Parts: sequence; structure tokens; C-alpha cells
Amino acid sequence: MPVREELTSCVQAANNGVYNQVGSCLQYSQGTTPQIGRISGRAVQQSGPGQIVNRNFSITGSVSSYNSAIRAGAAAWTSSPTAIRYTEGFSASSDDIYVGSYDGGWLGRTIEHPCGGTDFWVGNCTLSWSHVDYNAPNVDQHAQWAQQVSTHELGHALGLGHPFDLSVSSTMQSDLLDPGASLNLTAYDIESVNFNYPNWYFGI
Amino acid sequence: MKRNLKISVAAATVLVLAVSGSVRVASRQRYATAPKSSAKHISAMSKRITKPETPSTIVPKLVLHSQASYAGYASLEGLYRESVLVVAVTITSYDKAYRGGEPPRSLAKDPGGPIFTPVRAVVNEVYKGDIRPRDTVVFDQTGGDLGDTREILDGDPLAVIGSSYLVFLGSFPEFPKADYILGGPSGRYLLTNGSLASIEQPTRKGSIRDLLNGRSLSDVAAEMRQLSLTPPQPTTIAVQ
Repeated sequence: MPVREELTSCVQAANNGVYNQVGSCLQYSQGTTPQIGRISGRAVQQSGPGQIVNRNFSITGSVSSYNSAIRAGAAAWTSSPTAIRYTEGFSASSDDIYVGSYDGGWLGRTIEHPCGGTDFWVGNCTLSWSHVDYNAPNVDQHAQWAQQVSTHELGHALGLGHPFDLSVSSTMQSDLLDPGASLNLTAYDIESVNFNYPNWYFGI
Repeated sequence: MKRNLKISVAAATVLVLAVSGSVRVASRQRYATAPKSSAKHISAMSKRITKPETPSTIVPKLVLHSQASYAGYASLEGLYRESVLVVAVTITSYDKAYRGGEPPRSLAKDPGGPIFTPVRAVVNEVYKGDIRPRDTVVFDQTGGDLGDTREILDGDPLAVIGSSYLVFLGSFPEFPKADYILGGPSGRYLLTNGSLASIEQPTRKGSIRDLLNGRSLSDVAAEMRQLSLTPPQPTTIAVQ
């Protein structure tokens, strides 16, 4: 199968035929010395060295008791086969997480820095940094949410939107219906972030 | 809803002073919104303008899109039991928007936390709660215009003035005057010709939005009346 078709099919598999991300599949063919591995029982290939994306995140706010869960949420992206490497620290380009108490009914909320112009959308570009609000009183309802919300909101910080396919298992579903769900990324999550930050691809 | 927010005595004192200083006008003062956040937030909230705002005609220089995660509900019972108020309303106006949350670590980098807009609505029907038809209820929504910035919460836009909704509202025990919509789009349904329509489409199969989307208000109202007559069941969160 030609590379383009192969890579397109992998993206279609990830998004169940709905393109909710942007980018070029051909980016997956860049790099040298590919490595082969498996994700969720499926064969994957690393596109090559030099594509690791180092990002910072910071935690601030009036409540510190969630910090370990938030760090675990960031680590979920780093410890999975993605290009993302999160380390903690405030910088001009860090994803900044504010823990507090908000009037909204949401658990977490992320707003992204414009990638250019004065209007922007999640997934339109590779984001430079994000502002995340973490609604501590709402998160308190279920212990697992402390980490799940962190992983979810940092997924937005990485440019991922809520899945258009609402049947897929993903930490990026907007309603955290199942507080007992796994704290790990799903294959869908990994494929989605790898589409934004190409480092691995499916379908070899 | 069980909440564990810990508030120091000093913070609680500041809160009481701030809330008592609020002059927000609502037909039933209990349902006027109030702050539930930091002292800085409280200070900003206490300065809110109570006069309803006309829809903004300002063209924002910066349009920010945000996304959020919510508690999910798998049944009408779970959502109904957790609500303080369940009412059918018609939106009448917005109050002045404000910015909530923690101060940004760097103003040069970051404009700050979420923009909230208090939404004012007249009550048409009451399905739960201590309020009457023709009363006014005010609830906060994330998003709106503040200065030259507009925030749009994708999947849960501001309620439209003149439109009617069925809303499930919660309040915070430590801030009894605050109202908010439970679960974002899970707690608000557009009413058109007597039927409910989910705000966010499509809906997740098995979610409350999926279960209520397209149902008639009269059917849902009958189910809620039945719920009001029966004791709560022990479990309201479903595991898929």
C-alpha cells in the first residue's frame, strides 16, 4: 500500500472516518531508523528520532492537594508511546494549570493560546501553550477524576478536541460518565495525539 | 452532591461580608448568584452590575474557544436528584460578564481565567425547588464578552435570549446563593414545540443527553413528578 494511503487509513481508523484533527499524514513518513512496536495489540512504527516534543506544565492556585494527581495526568501522556515529554515548570510556553473553585458546572476547562490571528480553534494548529482551570470542588466528587481531568485537559492543551465519535473509549470524551475507567490513555487517545505530533503511526 | 471544599474561618468571614454586600436583584433573593471562589473573585463578584445588560454589539478583538469536561449522568433520576432547581425557563437577559478563577501567573502571557456570564431567565414551569412561575432565576454560564475578549465554550454556548430551556440547576452548599447548570450540556435542553433538544449534538449513547433528546416535555415532566414522590435510589452514577 502506498505510504499516503496507508497513513490515511491509520488516521481514519483513529477517528472512525471523521477527521477531527488537522495535519498532513505524510509527516508520518519523515525520520529515519524507525522502530517497531505494538500499541493495544496493533503494530506501530516510530517515524524516527528528532521528533520528541518537550513541553512544560505548571500547577498553581489556592489548593495544592491535587498536585500529585495532576502530575500523574501529565505523566500519562509522557509514559505512553507518543512524542510528548512533559516536565514540570513554568515558562513562556508552559501549559499552566490553575486549581481553584469556579462557578461553572464543569470539572476542568482549557483555553488555548492563539496560534495566529485573533480567532482559533482546538486542533487548528500545534498549540504553543494553554491555560487550564481545574475545578476542585467538582473534581472532589470522585477520586479518579482528580487524574482523569488532568489528563483530559492536558489533551486539550495538546490540541485534541472531544471525539466526534462518541462511542469510542477515550479520555477525551467530554462527560466523564465512568469514574472507574482506566487512568491510562486509550489507543484512540494515542493515535489522536500522534496525529498532531507525529512520532508513531499505525498500520505497518 | 457531596462537596469537600475546605474554607478557613477567615475566608468564610470574607465570604459572608462579600455576599451580604451583594445587591443583585432577583425576584427571589435566594436564587441570585453569588461568588464561591477566592477573596479576589469575591471582590470582583460583589462589584457586579445588577442591571441587565443588553446583548453586546462590540466586535471582540480576541475570540477564545475553550473546551471543558463534565460530570456525566446516565439517568434522569441521577440528574434530577442532584438538582436544587429543575425549571422550564425563557431567557430574558444577560448580566455583566466577569472573569473568575485564579489570577494568571503572567499577565503578559495569559489573559486570565474563564469569563462567566450571569444569565437571567423567567420561570415558566417548576419541576423541583422552592421557586414559582414568573419568578426570575439567574445562573452563571461560562463564556461571553468581557472588554474586547469573547470566550466561547465549545459544546455549551450561552443560552439564547428569547429561547426556552429545561434547566437542571445546582448550588453550592457553602455558597447557597450560587446557581449553575449541572453537567454543562447535560443539564440544559432547548424547548421547541414541547420537545427537548440536546444542546450538544450528537449525543453520547447512553448519556442523559441521549436519553432526553427528542422526548416531549410532558413525558419528562411526568417522570420527574414520579421521582419526586419516590425515595432516592442508592446509586446514581452508572458505570459503562
